[in-house]
Amino acid sequence: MRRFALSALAILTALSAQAAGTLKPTSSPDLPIQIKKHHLAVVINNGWARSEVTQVFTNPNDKDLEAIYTFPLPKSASLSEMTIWAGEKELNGEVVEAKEARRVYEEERDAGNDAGLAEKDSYQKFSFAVSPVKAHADTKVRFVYYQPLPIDTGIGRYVYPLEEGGTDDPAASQFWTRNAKVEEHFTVDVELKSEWPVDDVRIPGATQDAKITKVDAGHYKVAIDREGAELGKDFILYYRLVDNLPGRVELVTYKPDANKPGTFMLVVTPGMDLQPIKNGADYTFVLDVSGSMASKLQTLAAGVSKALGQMKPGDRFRIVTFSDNARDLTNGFVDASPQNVAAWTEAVGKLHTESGTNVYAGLQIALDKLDDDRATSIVLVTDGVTNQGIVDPKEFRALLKKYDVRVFGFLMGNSANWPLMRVIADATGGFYQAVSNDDDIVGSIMLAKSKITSECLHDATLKISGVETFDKTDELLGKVYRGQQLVVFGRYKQGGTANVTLAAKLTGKDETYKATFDFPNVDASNPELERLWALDRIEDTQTKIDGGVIVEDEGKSTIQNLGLQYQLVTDYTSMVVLSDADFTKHGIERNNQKRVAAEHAAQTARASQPIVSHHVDKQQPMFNGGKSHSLGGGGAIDPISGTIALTLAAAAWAARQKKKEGGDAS
Amino acid sequence: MITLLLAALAAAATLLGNAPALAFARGAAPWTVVTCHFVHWSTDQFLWGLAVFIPLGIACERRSRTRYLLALSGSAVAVPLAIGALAPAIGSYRGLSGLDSALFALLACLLTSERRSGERATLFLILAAGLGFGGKIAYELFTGSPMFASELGAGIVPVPLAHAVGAIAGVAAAFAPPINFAFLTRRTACS
Repeated sequence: MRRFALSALAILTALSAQAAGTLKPTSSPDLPIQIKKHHLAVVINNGWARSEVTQVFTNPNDKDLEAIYTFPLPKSASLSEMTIWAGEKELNGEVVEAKEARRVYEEERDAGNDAGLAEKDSYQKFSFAVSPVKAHADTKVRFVYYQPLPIDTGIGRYVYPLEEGGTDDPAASQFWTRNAKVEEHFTVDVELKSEWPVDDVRIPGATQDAKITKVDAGHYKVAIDREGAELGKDFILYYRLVDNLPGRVELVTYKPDANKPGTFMLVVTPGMDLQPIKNGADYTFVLDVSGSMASKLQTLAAGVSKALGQMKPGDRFRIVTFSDNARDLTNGFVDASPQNVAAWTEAVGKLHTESGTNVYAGLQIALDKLDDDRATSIVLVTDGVTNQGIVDPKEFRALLKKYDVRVFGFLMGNSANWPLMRVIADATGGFYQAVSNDDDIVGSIMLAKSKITSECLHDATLKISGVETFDKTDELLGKVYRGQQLVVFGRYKQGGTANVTLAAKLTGKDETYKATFDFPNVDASNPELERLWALDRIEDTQTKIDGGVIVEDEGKSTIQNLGLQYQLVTDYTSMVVLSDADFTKHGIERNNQKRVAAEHAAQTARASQPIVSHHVDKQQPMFNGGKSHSLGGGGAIDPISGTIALTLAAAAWAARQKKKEGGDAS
Repeated sequence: MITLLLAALAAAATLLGNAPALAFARGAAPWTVVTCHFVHWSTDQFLWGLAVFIPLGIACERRSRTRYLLALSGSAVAVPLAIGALAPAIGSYRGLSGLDSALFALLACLLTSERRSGERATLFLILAAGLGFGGKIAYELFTGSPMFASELGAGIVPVPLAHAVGAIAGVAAAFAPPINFAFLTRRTACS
């Protein structure tokens, strides 16, 4: 299956492209609103990305309109700012309770005043309403979101989603397909700042027009300028760190007030050698053959064929397909013999698509007739929203908890149901990966290959002592796969020296890795951390609601409070965009304005600084025992050695001068 | 001056992006044994390496071009080979400082030998510099960690072994029997 899994990724590339990111009139007889300019500015630094999207729209109609702009929801994105420029006016956003935001927006809209509204629609999209978009005039809309960007197997990956995923949800597919051409310029500017040297930056699908500039070993700039571009494809950027970097601990903090709690992001990159799995194992390939997969089925077959061809003696495989119902294609596990591989490759090539998507039925069959003596992994490949049979995530969790399997999920496209996949992955200790339809197979393989084909750490826990921490990511990490970073968000009361311990089982033995370093008591450099921490709490709470771990009302209240306090657009909070006077009129506090001011000040300061090191276990490396990774090395003249050497050179010069003078005198 | 030519080469390599293909690595092309000294991990590393290389190089070259070339060629080859053999954790090596160490050691020897009797201050200075430079290398070599935070960039560690080997090559060049590179040598050796 591990090879199955690799080839599963191949399946993910051949997808139909539908455009997103359009502004359309709410009344259908009107002419579509044109996108004049679309600019994306991204800064990747400190383990997260800041994306700023600015679009200029033109209303070609003879009357003012209300328009809706929709945007596929990027993974773990915290929508934090929205600005609308209508003529001379600048409107900014504040997050309030969702119903209240809509009420205020509709009141202003109905009164003919300028207003905007940003809402989150479950896991699928953000939608922005703007009113009025003036007849024959331009309207500029800008929004900003932050998202954590962990490094996976030495590879960083940023996706700006523009393409709809092609799900079975008719409402979604109807939603996205209007006027996605940029009349003038589609431009992208990316600034990548990495503490670690970057070997390569790749932008699949933009190799011809992307201008990539290396500023320094870990500092790159990317620029794209396209005239008359179609917004039908995702923008994806990969960056690869230099090979064989050491295991390490990085700490980013924000604590502007010495007497108030701070926020941290702790990133642990394990440095132990996780060896390839040698014993034969069982792999089940669970394939979505619902209607939306029609255009991808040929690639799916090619991927399965390739995966089967790479299996080794001792492995067994099984193929389960699902649409409205599920089918065990191989009728149980079969040995990976050349004959079986050839036969089932042919069978997969003859698959045809049917209507709905019943993921639960597919998993039910995959979990049947397991052999307790063999390690079993399931690769689940789907592009859609489960809409047949059992759809409640709690039921999925209950089903998977009964078995000792790992589920690796590959989600294709931007509208796939990642909250469900997260519940599935969490329940089994597996992982899931969203794969853009515009991803390239090489990049995707690089991300997933080493994890699936190698041992993993079991029962991993990450504990922090010495510094009082709270409201942090769960200490119990479960399984940790090769190349996977452990990202822990949390809060801490006071700065001080902390002891961090990663404990886990590796090939049956208990292993412990320790590091000691300081949490600062004052650090005002990363205010965005608060929103990222809050979003982590929100996603964790949502997963617990979905999995039935906490009751919905309790979770909803938590999410709403976090959304309001940290000014994040959630399922229960929305951003209303008004003029300063209208905020005063409605008695809405300017919490986001203050937060944005602090963030902008920090961003301005960081822009002029060199790359800051957050590597906190330099002196006493946490993974010192594991010499699996080789290092880059260099002769380093530090200021002290340099001064000594220069002093000697000066002495040599003085001696020479003296000798000359002596010679002249004689 | 050979020193200025080599410095220009290092500057050119840096301006051209410090091509990874020029860095020394196990299994890399043989010429990386030499080219690795002219590429760097960071601007900081390059600037410090060059700031020391130019004055030390000029001082040595003026005193004995033969021994200067011996120290440079000896350390250029010995440093990466020693790293390859003795530092298995180092996958890739870059930087001028191995050569800097060789030049430092050579210059200290040359100054000691040309010192006139009674010049105690000069002797004291040479000894203090030698102890400072050598002591730091020894400390880092034995403790396995740098005395100061690395300016090489994250994930890149200083290699005290390079400095130690470079210094040994510099001393060896100073005490090597006189060699007459007639086509290169203008001045006599210190010994």
